[in-house]
Amino acid sequence: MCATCGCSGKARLRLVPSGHDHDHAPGHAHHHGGEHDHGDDRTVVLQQKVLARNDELAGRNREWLRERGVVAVNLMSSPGAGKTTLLERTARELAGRLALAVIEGDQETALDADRISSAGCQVVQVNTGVGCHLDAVMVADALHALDPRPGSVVVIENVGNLVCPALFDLGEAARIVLASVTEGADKPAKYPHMFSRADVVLVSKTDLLPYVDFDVRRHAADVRQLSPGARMLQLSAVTGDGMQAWYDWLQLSQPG
Amino acid sequence: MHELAIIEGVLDMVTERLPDATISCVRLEVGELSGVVPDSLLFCFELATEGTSLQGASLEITQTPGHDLKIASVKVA
Repeated sequence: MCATCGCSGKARLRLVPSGHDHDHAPGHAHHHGGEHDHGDDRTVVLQQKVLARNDELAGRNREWLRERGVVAVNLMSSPGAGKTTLLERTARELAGRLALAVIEGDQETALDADRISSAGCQVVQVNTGVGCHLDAVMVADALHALDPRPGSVVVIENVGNLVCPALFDLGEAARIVLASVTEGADKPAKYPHMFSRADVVLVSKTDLLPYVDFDVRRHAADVRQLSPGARMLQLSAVTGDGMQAWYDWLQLSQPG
Repeated sequence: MHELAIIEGVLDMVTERLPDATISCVRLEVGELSGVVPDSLLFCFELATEGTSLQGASLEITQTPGHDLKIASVKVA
């Protein structure tokens, strides 16, 4: 059994060394630029990016947002890092100062949307079912349902997961990764795909720093190595420490 | 497991491009930095092709440097 995912490993997968995509008999010359015969089977060269469709739809979302004068940001973290708590406090404290709207992504329930709505913020919940991430189609539907007004900032709270959401462009202007001190400082090293594309890294739950073993310097150094340009902020959405810098960043990201 | 979404995308692209063909093999190029696990792709490929026109087709994966994730080619019987 395969150690990665538990599949039966019925050996229909063949890993081929980089540089040549398939074996063929000696002397069987062929080019690699188009369709050509290959014994009984015919090979059709596609050379298509697998995520091309998602990327194209994300581009459409970006265009839709730009035309509306709306900016979207993609907020990602592991489950329980405090994304919703951060947004609740943000919505309460920036009420009247920033037009904020939220798209909530979870596998099931509208619990988070209820919390955001109670904080007085416009929100749409997306349930992904078995899906482990939001994709550009889901966000397009959610944006139409949300109907954000010009000048607003839409925070897309992705499904709690440090792996899959890293791959899917949603049409956002910035990617924010929230890392709580209770998770440990090794997360950037363990989940480099997520952190390497982050524009902002928020270290959350800093009020718990005296009680947990979280090496702030190591965390910052690892983030710096993966994403040298990322803005790093520390905050606690419970005590309010460090929240002002986050608000300043959000307000600067507001459309013209 | 985003590999399932990726395989579904692959199947959509292949069947859209070659709607009437009998596909015997799909060849992917998976970048080492693409964030995609080849073993999981196989697992999902078997699940996702069941009961479709691609049932029984094989999946070949070439690991490449970089981030790209591509459908290189397909074999048509």
